[in-house]
Amino acid sequence: MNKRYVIAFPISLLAIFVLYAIFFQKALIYDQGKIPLSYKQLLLENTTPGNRIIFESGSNAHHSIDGETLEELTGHPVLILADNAGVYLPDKLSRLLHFTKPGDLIIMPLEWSYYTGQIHNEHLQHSMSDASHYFHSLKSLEKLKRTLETPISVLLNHAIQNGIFKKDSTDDDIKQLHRHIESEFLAAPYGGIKPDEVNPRKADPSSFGLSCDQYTYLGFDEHTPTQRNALLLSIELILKLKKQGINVVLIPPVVVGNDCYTENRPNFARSFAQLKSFLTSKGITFIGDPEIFKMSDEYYLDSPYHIIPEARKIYSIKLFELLDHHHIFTPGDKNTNTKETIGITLKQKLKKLEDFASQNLPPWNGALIQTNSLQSIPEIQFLTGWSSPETTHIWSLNKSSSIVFKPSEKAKNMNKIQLEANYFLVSELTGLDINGTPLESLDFSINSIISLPMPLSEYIDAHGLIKLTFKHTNPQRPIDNTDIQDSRLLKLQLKSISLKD
Amino acid sequence: MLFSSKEFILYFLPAVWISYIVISQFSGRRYAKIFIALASIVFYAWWKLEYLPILLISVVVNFFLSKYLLKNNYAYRKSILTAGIIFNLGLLGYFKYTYFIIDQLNIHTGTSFSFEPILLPLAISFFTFQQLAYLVDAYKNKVQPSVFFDYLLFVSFFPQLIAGPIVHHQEMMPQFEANNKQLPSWENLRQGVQIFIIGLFKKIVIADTLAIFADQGWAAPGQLTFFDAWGTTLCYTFQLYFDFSGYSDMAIGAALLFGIRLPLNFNSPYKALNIQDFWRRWHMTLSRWLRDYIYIPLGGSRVKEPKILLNLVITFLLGGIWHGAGWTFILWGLIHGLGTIIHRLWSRLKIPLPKWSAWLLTFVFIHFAWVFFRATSLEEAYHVAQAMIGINGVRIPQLYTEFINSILNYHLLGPDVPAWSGVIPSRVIFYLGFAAIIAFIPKNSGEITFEKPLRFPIIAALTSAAMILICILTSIDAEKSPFLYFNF
Repeated sequence: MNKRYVIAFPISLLAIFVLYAIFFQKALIYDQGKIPLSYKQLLLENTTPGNRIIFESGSNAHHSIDGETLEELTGHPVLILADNAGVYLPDKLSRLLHFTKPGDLIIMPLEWSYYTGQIHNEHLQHSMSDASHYFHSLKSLEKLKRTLETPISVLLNHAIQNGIFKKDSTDDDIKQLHRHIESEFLAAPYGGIKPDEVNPRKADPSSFGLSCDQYTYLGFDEHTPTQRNALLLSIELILKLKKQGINVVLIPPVVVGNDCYTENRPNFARSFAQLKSFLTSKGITFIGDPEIFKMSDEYYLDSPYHIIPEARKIYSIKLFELLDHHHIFTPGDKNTNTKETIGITLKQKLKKLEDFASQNLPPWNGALIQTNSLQSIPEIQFLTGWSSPETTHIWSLNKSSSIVFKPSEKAKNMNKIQLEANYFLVSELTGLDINGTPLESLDFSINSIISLPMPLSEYIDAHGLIKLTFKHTNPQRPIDNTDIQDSRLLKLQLKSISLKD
Repeated sequence: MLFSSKEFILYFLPAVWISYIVISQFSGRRYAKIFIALASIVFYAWWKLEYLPILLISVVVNFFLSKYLLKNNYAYRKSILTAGIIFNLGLLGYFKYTYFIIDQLNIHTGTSFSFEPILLPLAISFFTFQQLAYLVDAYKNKVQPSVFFDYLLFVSFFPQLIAGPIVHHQEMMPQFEANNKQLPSWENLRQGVQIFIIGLFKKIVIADTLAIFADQGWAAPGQLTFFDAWGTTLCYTFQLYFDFSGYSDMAIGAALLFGIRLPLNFNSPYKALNIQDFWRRWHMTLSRWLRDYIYIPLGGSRVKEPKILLNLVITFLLGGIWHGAGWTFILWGLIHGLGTIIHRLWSRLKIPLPKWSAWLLTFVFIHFAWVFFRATSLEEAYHVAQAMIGINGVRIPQLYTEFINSILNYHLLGPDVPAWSGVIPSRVIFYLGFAAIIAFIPKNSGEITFEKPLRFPIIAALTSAAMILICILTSIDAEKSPFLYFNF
């Protein structure tokens, strides 16, 4: 028995590790769904590679790049993938290796912390769920390594919050994504920050708590070899990208504050010089002096790395001038229009999703559905033109919103549809069509509950579906009329829906 | 090099083990023993090279003293023994107690002697006690003469050098003699691997996790209220047990790979039904040492009752002092001495307590005593003890007030700020519950490993492998903390 244990132990160890690796990858990591879980990933996957300018970094670039301006200046599609400095740099680069082609240009205005970045638990957990594209972009061996480098605390938190065996996007996810991706596209088509994401401005930079230099401290010369592991790995990946014909350019990040780089200037200068020479010696292109991208207090948003939206254009032009001076850009095409291209792609994607979702709808017997249960009721599919459901209502988004449902055999004989809704700010009639046939306009300003005659059997399509499309006149943005930092175009506030005899 | 470190598990232990087997196969016992003694010296020097001369001086002096003690016809044996005891206690006293004594002298007599705190050489309490026992045993002719490298190996054998178990020469060295040219047995290998992994799991998964919560609470003892104080102290109570017993299991496991059976150091101490029972189960080799070399020489139980009681107090007091220089350790020793006296007197009344109440009373007593063991000052200990009896108030963490209010559907309890900032109380409760179940209910590592022949080897191997995986996943983002008994 003792001999059996001793022989079985190494085999068990191997078996347990293999089983765990399979469990980790199959049961814990979110699958790559029918549509990426983030708009930035959708951009990356659905723009034609080969001539794009891709910005990758943390929230610094997320806040500061004006995609439209740069697209106009360069004639190249601009993608802002930058999100958060907590994301592990090698993971960002592995994703780029996966989704870029020769001719693409990657610009990395990395926050200084990236140069000694360690992998954070928050990133590990995020890359198991909503940002699983980072995990899926890793090579097989890297995936295995990541499996054994993910702490148990991260696994437990992930399993508690997201469950296990989360397979392909479920119907509910599609509902969510639909609204999410569409609203992101409308608010920030290049992948930058959405207006409603912008924090309230802090008038006084000193209220941040840390001085600019404390927050943006580089300290490269003091780092131990182990602190350089992530950077060395990143360098390796950048060199791979370059080898594949993808140009990668590192530049200093934009910083805001009159006191930036002043507190400990000699140390910073020495440290920066060492960083630059270290990177250059490894074959990495690093352009620019940190001072070029230093902005004064008036552009301060909420941290020394975040500029106010009004400063984006100024910064982006400065960025263009620097890179153009170094002949980084290849000739572009003046007709480039990422917004339009991605808009068409998105519409096609959403249409596919709609078809999938509508054909898989369970029959609805017409019973009253209130908005607070819309997230969990699978019978009604909210298609394009809706925001995320709130406790008592769901807002329409933009000028048109659609829902689809499959009436049950009993419900097919019903003759009325009852809707409860209100308007945002302006009371103007709501147009309605059913499976393409226009009906009379609705006016919720007089009565918030409308019972509309509508014999369903006359309208049901070949798949047994009913699609209602609401047309909104004059939707409004809260940000334009109120103090709320919300840039959605809102009109109809739908509260409930039911079918009647 | 910690037993739970990658360097030890992946490099040092396998390299030394394979080399030992090869040397013993091809060069024989003598060279294998010399090799392992030298490897042990490297292991010790790895911590801090500066400690090494102290260990070597102690070994050399004791070895030469023992040479004379082992000569039956030598006239000055008693004087040599006395010199040996003075040397060892002097060495221990200098490094461990000088600062405390001078500090107390300055406080209480108004003197102003200046003496900087000395860094305590690692394992000094352990190797000093082990050698003191050897000298006494040599004086009593209980040990056989040995050559220098054998003696060096006896003191420095790396599995037990740093924090025990404290062994007798006669229980360890004959095992090295018996191992001549023999490959390690399957039984030793199985038991060694199995108990080593159990110890690793205890240390990494349980003790080091509880340490996070315990340290947070102990960092601000003045702020603790009833629930926080119990949470903090219970975390420490279980941390200490799993840390030290985990270390001992790993020591026993590592030694078994070399064919050496070290004595068990723990036997489910928190299952004890009285304080005497506790000391038969907790740090068993220290208890044995205190009994054999202090309690019995003082007269043990062969003297009159008041003297027995006094002997008990003295023994526990010295046990407390052995752990460290400070009033908290003295008080901790006295508390245990007093507890033992009360138990002895109660036993005479022959009024048996129900088993569960005897267990609860014993556990709560031990738990309270650990407050003094953990505290860095008496003031700190009083703060925590006060909080544990509710003097500092009772606060329910916000998470639970919300939960209770939601059950009652009424805002009965006001929210409060949890004293453990950043710690989710549910995690504390989960880990405490897990630790308590392991400590109170199932068989302990010794029983699992040694008691019966293994019945389900594949399941046992899979369990061990799964434990390794959990250890790896737990240790990724955990603080690497040394074993608590390294401080003593």
